[in-house]
Amino acid sequence: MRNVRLKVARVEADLSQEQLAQKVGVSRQTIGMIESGKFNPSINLCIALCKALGKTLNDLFWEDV
Amino acid sequence: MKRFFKKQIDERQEKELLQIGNTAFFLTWAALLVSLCVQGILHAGIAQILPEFLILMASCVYFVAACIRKGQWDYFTQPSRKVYLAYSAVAALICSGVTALMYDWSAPGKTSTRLLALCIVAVIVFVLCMAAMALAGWAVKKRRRKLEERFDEEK
Repeated sequence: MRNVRLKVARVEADLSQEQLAQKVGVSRQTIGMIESGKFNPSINLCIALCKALGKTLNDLFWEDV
Repeated sequence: MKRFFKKQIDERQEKELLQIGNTAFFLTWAALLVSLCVQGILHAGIAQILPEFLILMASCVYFVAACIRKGQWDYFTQPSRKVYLAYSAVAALICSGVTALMYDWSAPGKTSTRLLALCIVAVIVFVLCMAAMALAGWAVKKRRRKLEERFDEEK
């Protein structure tokens, strides 16, 4: 399932996939695959993404039913 | 030196590399097994078969030991008598099948004697597999209990 919230948060923070990838220490492909729902990150990487974007885990990764 | 060997990949790349390594290992393992079976059918000499056999056995010993150490069994089953029985039966069938292919059925000799020999091969393989799997299953279960105790919060 695509993670639109991560993409929106990244664009709001005015960061490219490459810049976000550098901030959290992963490759650009990894960010792309998380956003497109092709890769499930570990909780450590989720937290790193949240910190880099100033969001909470709920903001980026919780599914509203 | 430490800097040179610093990990340059992230968790996704590591996972993908592990999957590639896993597939490569099983392809090599299966190819070795098939190669040994074909050489057996073609009546290759012991000196020709031995190196490949030792490599295959070394990989099997490492794999089984590592699985027991981590408390792992396999992807699709859990250690139980039914599973040991099923796997041992499959191993016995495959081994007796390969042995049957190794025979020269057109050579003089009684067919009934050969069939009896095949049955003996199947029984021996079945018993040995059952024993090996029961032992490995017991070791895996014991290891799992130990690992559960190690990470038990209440202790």
